Amino acid sequence: MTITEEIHDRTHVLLLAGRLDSATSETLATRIDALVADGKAQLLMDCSGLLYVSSAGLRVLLTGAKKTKAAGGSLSCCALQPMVRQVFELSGFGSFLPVYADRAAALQALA
Amino acid sequence: MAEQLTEQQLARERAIRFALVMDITLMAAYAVAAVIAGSVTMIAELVRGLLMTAIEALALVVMRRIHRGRLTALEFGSRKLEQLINLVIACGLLAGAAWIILDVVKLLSGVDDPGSPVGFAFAGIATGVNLYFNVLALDSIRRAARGGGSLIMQGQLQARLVKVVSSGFVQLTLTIAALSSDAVVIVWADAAGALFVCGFIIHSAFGMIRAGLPDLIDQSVAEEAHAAINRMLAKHFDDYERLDQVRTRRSGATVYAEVALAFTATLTIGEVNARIDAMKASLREDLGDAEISILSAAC
Repeated sequence: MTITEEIHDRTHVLLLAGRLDSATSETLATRIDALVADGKAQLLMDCSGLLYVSSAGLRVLLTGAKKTKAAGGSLSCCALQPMVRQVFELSGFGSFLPVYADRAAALQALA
Repeated sequence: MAEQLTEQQLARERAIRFALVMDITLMAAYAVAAVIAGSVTMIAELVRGLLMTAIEALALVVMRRIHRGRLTALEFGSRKLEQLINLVIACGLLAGAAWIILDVVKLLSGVDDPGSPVGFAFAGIATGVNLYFNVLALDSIRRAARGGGSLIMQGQLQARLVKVVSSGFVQLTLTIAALSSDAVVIVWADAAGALFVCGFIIHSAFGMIRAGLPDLIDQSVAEEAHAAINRMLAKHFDDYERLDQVRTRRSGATVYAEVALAFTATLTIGEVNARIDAMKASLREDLGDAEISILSAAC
């Protein structure tokens, strides 16, 4: 999985591409930790390139949501692929993780 | 502690103890018969009997601990030790079977001489007594196992039934060998009995290995279990402050899940426990019969 970062006002966007599973989730977790420690607690995961997410990957998002919330920010997701969206729905992650249709809608909501 | 046991529990222990004592007595007779008869069948029976008696003794020990409320000792280490012992015995059974097959080959190829008629007669008597005792033990265990509820008793009942069938066949082959004056008949009867017993030994050994190995080797948990844990974490997202760790493993059919969470320090122990209980209930709905631990820390 590759992570590309962009900054839009207060929101730090992480564009995820590939698979978020037990092999790659640690990379994302480490990056989220570093950003939160650096005071960047408003994170948006652009999942347009994310093809697959496993339970381990979901757990990283949950942990990230907790950490950003504790730091006064939030973690959101946008542009979920159908399969990833289904996983989100089945796991109930939509109940606490804001999910937007695309990046524009997300950035507008988070502005 | 004995007065705390129910009549059914005492009856079950008595039944297995009775069977065990008879088996040990018979093994001594079998050892003598094997030496006198020089019969490969008797050697095979001795090998099988000794190792299966060891399992019987282990079953009695486990049952006694269950009945006396020492159930906690069966978790993790002790249970795995029992499975390990079972596996060692299974390996012993396979080694014994290999040795017996080698003896049968030597007997059939004429390298070894067949046993003496007197020896076979003595062996026949010993196995006849064994058959009689097996029938008695089967009846005793069958009566004690009535009412169900004990896996050990059901296992013992099955094992004893197998012994009755097995000793019946051995009795037949040894009787043929004892009564016959034809050396070829004697050799083949002895070989048939030995190979029959070997078949039982190998079947028992593989059964024990199949049952014990998955329990001994911890395996990773299926994705569905992880998804269930995630659903619980999502459902109770606002009930905890931090997710520290999720650890899972599978031992046999049992899933073990350990979730480490941090809770707000201002919550009372009662409030934390109530939240933990609710989370466990959620997880149990999804995972079913799993061992769930939720560890708490303050933050």
